Amino acid sequence: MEGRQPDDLVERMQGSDLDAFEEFFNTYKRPVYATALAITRDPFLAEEVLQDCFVKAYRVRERLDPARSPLPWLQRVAINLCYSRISRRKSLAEPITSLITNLVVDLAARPDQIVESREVLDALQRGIDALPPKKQTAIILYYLHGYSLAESAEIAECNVGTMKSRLHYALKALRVRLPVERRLPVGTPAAVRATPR
Amino acid sequence: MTCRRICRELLWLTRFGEIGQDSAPHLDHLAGCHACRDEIGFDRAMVQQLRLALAERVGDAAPSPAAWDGVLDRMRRPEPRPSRVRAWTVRLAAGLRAGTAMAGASLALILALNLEVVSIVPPGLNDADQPTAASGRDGVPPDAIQEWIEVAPVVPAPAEEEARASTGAPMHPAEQLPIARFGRQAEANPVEADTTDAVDAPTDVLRVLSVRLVPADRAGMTDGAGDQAGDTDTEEPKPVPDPPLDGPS
Repeated sequence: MEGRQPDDLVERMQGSDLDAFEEFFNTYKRPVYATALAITRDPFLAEEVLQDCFVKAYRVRERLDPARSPLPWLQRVAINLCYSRISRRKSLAEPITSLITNLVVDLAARPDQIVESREVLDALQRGIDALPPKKQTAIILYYLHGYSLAESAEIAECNVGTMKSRLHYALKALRVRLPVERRLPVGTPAAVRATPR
Repeated sequence: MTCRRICRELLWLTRFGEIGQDSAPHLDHLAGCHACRDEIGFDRAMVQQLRLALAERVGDAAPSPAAWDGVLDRMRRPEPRPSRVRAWTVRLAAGLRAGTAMAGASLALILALNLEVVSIVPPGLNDADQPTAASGRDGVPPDAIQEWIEVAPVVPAPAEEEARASTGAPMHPAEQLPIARFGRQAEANPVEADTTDAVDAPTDVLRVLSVRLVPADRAGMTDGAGDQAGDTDTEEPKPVPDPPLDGPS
């Protein structure tokens, strides 16, 4: 897993060393923040989750195992905090990142390709938002962070088979979300693919 | 293996990078099957788009420089205690779960042991002196059973009844008991007729006893001993006419 820590970082933190805790925060803040942002799509909420997650880590620092990476535990806490916040809010904020991406387009690409690609990405974003929490978590851990199946399963507190199953059904659900002509296999004749909706 | 199944397994293998030595049959199929190649190709393209979509959600975003100050600020705040109402609710829910589980287990135990819970009060026994379960089968004391065997009449056979009607002989008082009326009803209902065939066997008496719990007037028996005993207070309900066969006019 990413975010390698100095060997005695957790031990120093357990000795109430605030500098060690700051180092701990700087070591792990990016992956935890990325997870929170991918789930919430709100930078402010993601930062709140990040802060709460590290405050919790400091409060239970005595229970952290210095021999193991704390990242899976941090990710798990962040994921739980995200979903509890989202359920309290009921609605997600307008994703700022997607607004920025809409403005920054590749001018070298053909206009029809830009439109098609944008349409697919938007459909996928909506599909990811609509996934149940467990499948959404699986997608984020495996495809965004690039954790292995075993690492993803450890963070999600399930076994590897369950993680594979969650990924499989998440992809299946996302595929349904795609525009109809994009769901057809690649080899389908162009005439069929161009059928107006 | 069907093409569909091979394709599904191939999807699984390619998604999780598990193609190895034992995947040769799948790869052989893939080389010759255009549809499977399309399917796998489409899946890979979708995963690629999915990675883009996920990266787009995060971008290069990093927590603000003020995030560490925010952590320190939150650490200075006292740790929020769980509210008492919530703790009480959690305890109540746990108690209810345990209670439900115990009730279910008890029910399962009763079913497993085939225990019967029957409440029967023979005549002469009021609620206060109901027998205990140890006194007889289904809680009925043996002397009460014996008394019922003696009192319970044998249902007169149809021929015997016709003979009595022709001679005008009075009915035996015991036959006026509801149990006799039950016997007559059983004749009208052949499905239940066997319940009165051997009334003098104690087990069948018990069976009849349990049927006896239904009040006679609610059982719709209007031509029984009650009428013959001069009970003229109750009016016989008028039969409901059958609806016309050709429907409402």
